[in-house]
Amino acid sequence: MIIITDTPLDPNQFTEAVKGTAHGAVITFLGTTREETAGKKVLYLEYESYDPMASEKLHELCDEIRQKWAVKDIAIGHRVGKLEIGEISLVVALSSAHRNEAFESCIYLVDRLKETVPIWKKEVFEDGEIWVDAH
Amino acid sequence: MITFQILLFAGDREKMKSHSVEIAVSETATIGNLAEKLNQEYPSIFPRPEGLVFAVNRDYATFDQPISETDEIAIIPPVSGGYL
Repeated sequence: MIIITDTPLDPNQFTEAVKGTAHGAVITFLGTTREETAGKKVLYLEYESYDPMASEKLHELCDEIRQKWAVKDIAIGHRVGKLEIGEISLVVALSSAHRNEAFESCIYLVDRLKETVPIWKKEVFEDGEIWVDAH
Repeated sequence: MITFQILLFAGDREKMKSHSVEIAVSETATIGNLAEKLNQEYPSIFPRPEGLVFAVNRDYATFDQPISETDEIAIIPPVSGGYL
């Protein structure tokens, strides 16, 4: 399941999507918006994606993960549009038979997502704004 | 000549005040030629053509990749700060 949406993400929806009786481990990772960058107060954030390339790249990433690890199911949600501080920008849920595959593949997935998926983040400060690393 | 509507995102979109930019190049052009033309026409917005990253039909492209009229072409701004 891959969802890119401008409405709030519900982590439970993603966790439930990957849970199963054959899976001993489920990891749900949340990326949330920070109130500060390099000591500067962030007022709010804006995320922009290139659809459908972003969805396609997320699907490719899931295929890559499945080739490398014995992962059962993967669900990814990415928020776009305007986000307030403390909101969830990213949800990654994945399941595997044992915990090691789940932890390792989740770290890899989030790292690669930052490099290959065309989603951008703008931080808006009191005295200006800047497009930065999307996550 | 072929005119391409190149999709723009994030900072590029804001600087150009548009979701796309039209660039005309020859029928045998490559992505590299597009980058050079963008730099010639908008030097202040695309000062380093060699650092631009493009997608053709929603896949990352190399500069020697030929392009054809029906291709969907986009400039992918850096997702981790600073041009590559």
